[in-house]
Amino acid sequence: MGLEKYKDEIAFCCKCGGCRIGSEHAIGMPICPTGERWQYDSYYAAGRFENAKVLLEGGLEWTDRLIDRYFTCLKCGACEEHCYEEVGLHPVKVIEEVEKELVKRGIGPHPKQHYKNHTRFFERYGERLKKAAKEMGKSAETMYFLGCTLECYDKEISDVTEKIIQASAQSFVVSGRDWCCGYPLLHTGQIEQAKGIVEDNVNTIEGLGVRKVVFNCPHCYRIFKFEYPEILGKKLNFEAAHTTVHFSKLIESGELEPKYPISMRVTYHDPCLIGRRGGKIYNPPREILHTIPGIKLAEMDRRKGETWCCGAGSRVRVAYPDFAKWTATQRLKEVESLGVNTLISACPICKINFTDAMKAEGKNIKILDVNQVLAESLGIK
Amino acid sequence: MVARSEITKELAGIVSEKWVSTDPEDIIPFSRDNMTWVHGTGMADYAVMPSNTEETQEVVRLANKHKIPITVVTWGTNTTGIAIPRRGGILLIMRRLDKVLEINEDTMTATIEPGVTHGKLIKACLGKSVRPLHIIGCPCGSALAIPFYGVNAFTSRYGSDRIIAIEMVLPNGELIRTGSWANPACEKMNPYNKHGAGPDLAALNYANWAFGAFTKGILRLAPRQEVSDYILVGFHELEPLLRGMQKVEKRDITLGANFVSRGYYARVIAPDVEMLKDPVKLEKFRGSLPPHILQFYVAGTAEQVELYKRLIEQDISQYNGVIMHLTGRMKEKADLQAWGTGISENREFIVPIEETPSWGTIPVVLKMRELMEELYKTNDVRDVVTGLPAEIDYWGQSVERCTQIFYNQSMQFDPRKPETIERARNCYFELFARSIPEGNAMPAFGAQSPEYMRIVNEIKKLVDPNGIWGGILPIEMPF
Repeated sequence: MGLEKYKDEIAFCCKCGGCRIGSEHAIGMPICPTGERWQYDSYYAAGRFENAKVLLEGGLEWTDRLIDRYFTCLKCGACEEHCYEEVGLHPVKVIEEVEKELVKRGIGPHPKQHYKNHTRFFERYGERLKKAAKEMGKSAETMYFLGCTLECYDKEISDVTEKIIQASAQSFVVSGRDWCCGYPLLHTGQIEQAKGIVEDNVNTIEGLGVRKVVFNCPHCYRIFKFEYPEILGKKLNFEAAHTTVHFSKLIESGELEPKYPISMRVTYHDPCLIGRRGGKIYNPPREILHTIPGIKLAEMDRRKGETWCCGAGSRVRVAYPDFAKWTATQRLKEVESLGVNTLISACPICKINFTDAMKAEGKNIKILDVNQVLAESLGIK
Repeated sequence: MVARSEITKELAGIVSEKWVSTDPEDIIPFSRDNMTWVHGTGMADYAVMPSNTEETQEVVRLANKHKIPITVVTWGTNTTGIAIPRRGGILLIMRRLDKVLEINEDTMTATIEPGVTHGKLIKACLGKSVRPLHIIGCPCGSALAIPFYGVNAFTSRYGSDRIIAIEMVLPNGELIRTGSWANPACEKMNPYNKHGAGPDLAALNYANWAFGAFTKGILRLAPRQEVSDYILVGFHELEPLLRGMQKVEKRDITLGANFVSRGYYARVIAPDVEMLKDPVKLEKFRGSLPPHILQFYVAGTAEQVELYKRLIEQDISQYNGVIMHLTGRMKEKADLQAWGTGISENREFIVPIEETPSWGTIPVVLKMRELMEELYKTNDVRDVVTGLPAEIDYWGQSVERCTQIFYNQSMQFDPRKPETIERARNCYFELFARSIPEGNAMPAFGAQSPEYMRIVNEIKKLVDPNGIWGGILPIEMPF
């Protein structure tokens, strides 16, 4: 089993507790949403390590009791940020291996995270992809990859993003509709079920001759950039970039010029999958905000590597909606404590989850994507 | 005997179903700590998390009624096996009591619950004229539990006596407060007197939770200074380091002083964690450091800090100490204060170690080192990473102006190799058995005179007639 690979790592967990709380900007603040919610060690990385160890030793049975202890994990990487840096271990990888094994044994994932419940996106859709590629009609050096979240839930973000790319006068093409990266499967242990999607996606894009793919969705971005090469065992023939990096470079080179003032005091939420789990893209979104006249950025204590996750990742929003809402609400309280009423993120899933929590709690916080603010300052409607 | 399901039901009636678990998945993580390799495991039957003092009392009363053993834990960052439920029973997890009740800048005290971590206390003090008294401390562990056993506590200028008073649930379920807090009439007037009108009962708790479960505590804080900085000094030999440290400490100008071996230091300040897993790079990095490193922490006005640094330099030069200059990330990581606010110190665990904490004067420390050298040689102790004969790694601190020294030598072992675990365990016992007659005070509990032990045991019987409370030391010392 894949977990065996991490046997040595598991043996070296020292239970220091670094997976629980912040130690820099967020000193003393909780960083692990599942641990903070359930409080038992079995919901923190250290306890998940310990249970993995005993599972390997044969002292604990593989039962459905493990589902909640592992599939609640958001894979936000807050634990790993400390654990790897200070002790050299990879808790998220260990958690992922336990999940894979649970799937293999027919125990996991949580029924609502199951492949079969998401056929709209997760069918091996060679035909669907061919159609999507056909919808594009043409090819170009750069592709803007919509992903399924934007397409289904927040077309406003994808519309303004498309217009920003247009404004930069770059030659580009927009991916077809309903094109899923496979993230919901890959982050719930359903690797075997996702492999076909990964292969189809890469073959299709490479077949189009695209050299660079830009993503709004940090989930798609991380999967393409870091996980596809690992799964396929090869380097991709195209570059994967997040729109915040792409646009901040265009601003720097003068190809985009945000000039219309937006008088707003805002705070920025670092999405986990372009932050600590996605190449540490912390500055580009902030640089974009800083170039917009009138915007004043107030920082939360839990930021960058110590960000508190929005609560939606790894299909937790679907399987554990109360927990996802609770996690987002904790973040909104932090926003309110700064005295600002606008929260900006760079992830459509964060935006959806925060917006739902905000409505449920009756709070008055404006939730925006950084591209929406940028578009406004560029004069794009 | 009452059925387990009945007990579970009763516990759920107190703390609600969510906060009691009998699932092995929830209990296993509390059955070990990072010294389990040496000290063994222990499985509780129930994991229970009360949210306040009243619930804690009720759980303890229930345990007392049914004679169920109790072991108390907060965040489980222990490194000595002390919170492992060796007798089964109830694991009383105190982390939900996590409120900072008051930071009083006037009396320089913090009133907190046991689930407040050192990191949370640091945060609560930010922007105020006070800070936690101890300079170094694990930010992830309980700020209230650490002072009783946690040796990272010591500071020079403000002493090491951080606990002023505690509120605790005794094993029979009764609630007591110590010091002037014990007198309800005193509370509003002055809750911050350690001794009150009688002996300090908080001090009975030699180790965490020895005689009950703390539910609140009052900690002493220190004033926040305008400027703070540190100074590093390298030495070739341990004895001149200790003498130099003592000379400086007696000037009463530092906030604290600690000393480490280069192996330990390399692991803490290394700029890249991957380097620490590479035998060649690690050896090269370690070799670039002086064998013994002393660190003083100074604070005050800018003028005071400059003066203190000059005096320190002057004193240590008499002992052939050389001022070290680090740059960049290493300088940042070497800051003593940063060790107390970050988790860098955990890097020592990249190499698992058996800790051998000791107390004593300079001759005791030197004797401990001599004994360890002998044990390393006879047991052929090898570095886990490089495979070369291991250097003795240690860290220590000046206590109360260096009239005492806390000294902790690290015995390496490889958790994947049982023979190295066995060797570490044997060395641990042998070191203590041989060092106590030489004056090592730390592990002496159980080795005191029969008269002393009789009184301790009588107190234990008085507060815990049914013997339900967890042990005081993790393992019996074979003296």
